[in-house]
Amino acid sequence: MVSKMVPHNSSSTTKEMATVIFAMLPGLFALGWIFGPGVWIHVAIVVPTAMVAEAAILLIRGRNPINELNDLSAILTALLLAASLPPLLPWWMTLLGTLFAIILAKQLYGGLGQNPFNPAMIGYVILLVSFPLEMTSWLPAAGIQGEPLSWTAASQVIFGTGPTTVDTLTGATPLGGLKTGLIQGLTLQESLLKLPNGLLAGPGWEWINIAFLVGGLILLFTRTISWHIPLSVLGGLFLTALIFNLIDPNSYATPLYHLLSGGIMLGAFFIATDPVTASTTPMGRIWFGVGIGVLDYIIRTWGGYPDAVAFSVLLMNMFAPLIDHFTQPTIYGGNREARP
Amino acid sequence: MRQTLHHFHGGVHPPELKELTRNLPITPFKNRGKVVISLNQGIRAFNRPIVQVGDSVVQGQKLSECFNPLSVPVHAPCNGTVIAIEQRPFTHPSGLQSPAIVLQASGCGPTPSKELMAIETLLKGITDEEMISRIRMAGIIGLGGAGFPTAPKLLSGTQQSIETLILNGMECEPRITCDDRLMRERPEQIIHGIELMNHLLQPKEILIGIEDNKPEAIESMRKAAANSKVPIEVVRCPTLYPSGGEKQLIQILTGKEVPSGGLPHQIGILCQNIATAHAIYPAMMEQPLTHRVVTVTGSGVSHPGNYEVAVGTPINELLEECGCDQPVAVTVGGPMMGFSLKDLNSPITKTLNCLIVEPEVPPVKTAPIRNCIRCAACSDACPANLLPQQLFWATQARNFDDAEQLHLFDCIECGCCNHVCPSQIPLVDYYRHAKGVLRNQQQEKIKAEQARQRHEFRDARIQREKEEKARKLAEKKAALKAKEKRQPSAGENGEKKEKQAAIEAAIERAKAKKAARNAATEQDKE
Repeated sequence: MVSKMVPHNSSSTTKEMATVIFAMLPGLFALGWIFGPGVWIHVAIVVPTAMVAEAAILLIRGRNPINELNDLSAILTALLLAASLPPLLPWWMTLLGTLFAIILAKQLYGGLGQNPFNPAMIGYVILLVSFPLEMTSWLPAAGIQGEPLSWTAASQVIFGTGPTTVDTLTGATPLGGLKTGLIQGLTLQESLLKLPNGLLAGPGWEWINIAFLVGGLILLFTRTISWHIPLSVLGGLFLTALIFNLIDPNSYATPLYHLLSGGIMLGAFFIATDPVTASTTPMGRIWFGVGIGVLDYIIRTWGGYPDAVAFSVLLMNMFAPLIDHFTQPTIYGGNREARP
Repeated sequence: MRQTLHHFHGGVHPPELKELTRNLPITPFKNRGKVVISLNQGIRAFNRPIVQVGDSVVQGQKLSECFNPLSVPVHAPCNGTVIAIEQRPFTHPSGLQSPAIVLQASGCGPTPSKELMAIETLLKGITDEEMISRIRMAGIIGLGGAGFPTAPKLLSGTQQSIETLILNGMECEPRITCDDRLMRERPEQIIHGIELMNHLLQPKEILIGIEDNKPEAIESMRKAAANSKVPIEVVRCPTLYPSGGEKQLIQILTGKEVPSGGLPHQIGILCQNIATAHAIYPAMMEQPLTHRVVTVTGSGVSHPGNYEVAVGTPINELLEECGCDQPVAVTVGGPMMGFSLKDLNSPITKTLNCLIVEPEVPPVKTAPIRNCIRCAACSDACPANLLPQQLFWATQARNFDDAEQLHLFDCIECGCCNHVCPSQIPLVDYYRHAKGVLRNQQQEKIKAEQARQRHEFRDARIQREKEEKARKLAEKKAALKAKEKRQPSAGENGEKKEKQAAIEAAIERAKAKKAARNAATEQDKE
């Protein structure tokens, strides 16, 4: 009775999730343009899988699935996962990753809002450590360099039904190739020369990152997310990259190369900003973001994986409660200087 | 003019909805039926009635005695007869009952003259103590909402140096227009009240804060302030809920923050609602506070308006007058901080500023309450700069100690977090509950401590009594022994000697007898 008369600004979880999903579209289209229809096949796999899995667990938990599915969070998780996966990953791995994300990482903790780790990233990391080869085989950026992969070829590879196999089509990502080159003792320039060149970073990837940046700006302008996390993720990565690039430009790529490579824009605007698993205080969000940016650089440069948004986010998820504890804002009247 | 206004953290812009009543003048409501004067008028303390059933009373007559310094007496708002002194429903979220004096109204006393006396003439021969006592005896409490008695507040102000006296005319809650009307229609009386407070407190500056959605009130108060000999500044403040919160208003006008857990006078500020200032002038004329302006609004009444109502008027009688002829749901107070009324027979209280009356409809399907996703919209909106999302997690998990660590008691329950929560969580309800639990725990602790002390005292007493008893017994024994030692010790020896002497004598006698017998026998033999 009370709540009926209380004015509300009519924000809702559903609306926020819908906005994030909408803001993902530029990035998804860029992925689809550059890596072909495989991306859309993944979307077609993950979304229904996620919804069915969520509904099933909700039923088991004795909840009304309609009430909770319509918050759209499962679809968002699924899309984030789909956007992170290599475009020609076998269908069952995609399915497995989605199930892990929704069931293990989200519902088993109690559903929306209860999970300490980002569900999409848990799904991604489980696949990455279980199937490292498949998870690091990316298509060359066909969209801008040649003929895009056909729907038939893509589905043949993904579902394993035709002669086209993944080996003939895929290779490492530019970040991965760069790392291999550097490990082989080549300088940065030599490594980059061996790789197909993009405008600013790896071919195609720069466009994907720019597209996700556009989506991220939509989120900022609609005030769906605050500036704290994305800016500090990108700032943390940029500054760390700048320092090492200035120390030794032959071994360390430029900050701009880092900012437009891999999944950093997707991570900074869409994954790290997941409010459930991020820090929640204003200062805490900055530390949280900087932590992701710096960790990403460290793992990219010296770690065993070419890109590390997922690991950095998950590691910082672990620290979020601690960060929140130490970054509580000064409350009204709590400032010692203001005391008489 | 003030150059700079300061900002408080957060705040929200709920729809103001003041149009319905803001242009309707204050209308006196003549009470014809019963009046229920609750004895639970002040904070915590109950009054003791000094009238009996059957007594006739006249308007303004004092009906009760109060003993707690934080409470004020109650007065008859009209002529009438006491028909009962009993438990009556009280205007409270819980719908609890409270002892009350029930009057059958039979008419009104003479209306006081509208002419205002000059302060100097009024105060001739009246000491500060007398002024404060009159304010208390007139039953004046803060009319802004919390209902803190005005006299002790002013008293603490006179004991410390007050730099700034702030008058709160913000009325930031949506829908409420009673203070707005008061400022537009009776600015002189408000200014008189301010001058009286100025006389008491001697502040360096006097500021009246009014939100810029009340341009007429600002204009009217500025005009009245210009006619005053005391420099009073009317400050136009941007409309932002909850700028009318005492702490927030102080921050807006002075940039200072009331220390957490402290009171404004500690930083040299005293804040009063303009309706309270309005009530102070009549108090000097020894006219008690028996009426207040109440905004009645909402689609459940055909005649919404600003009514000057006797304190104690049953709400349903007022609603009838406002043209309410259907089952309604009533919110007491503003939509942000108010509560839904359980019993329409509850009376108008001194702190009741608004009744929102909506037709009672079967509960509409509202957006479901979802889980908290820690989006921090609430902490962005919180004027106390708390972390409502963290507080929610702590209170939901019943970790009330954690909640206290997160400054639960600095929450002013303004409802900004409720307003912005995308998951529609009634956050403030959780905080109120947690505060209640913690206050109870505190009470329990105090009680337990008292019980412990009592128990220890009792133990100590029993121990002491035991020891005393034992000591007395020992003393008695010792005394007895001493007595025995002193006299009977000599006697005893004597007795022995006597006995021995007797024995010896007997032996001697026996020996003598024996010897005599032997001698006799020997004589016989010879």
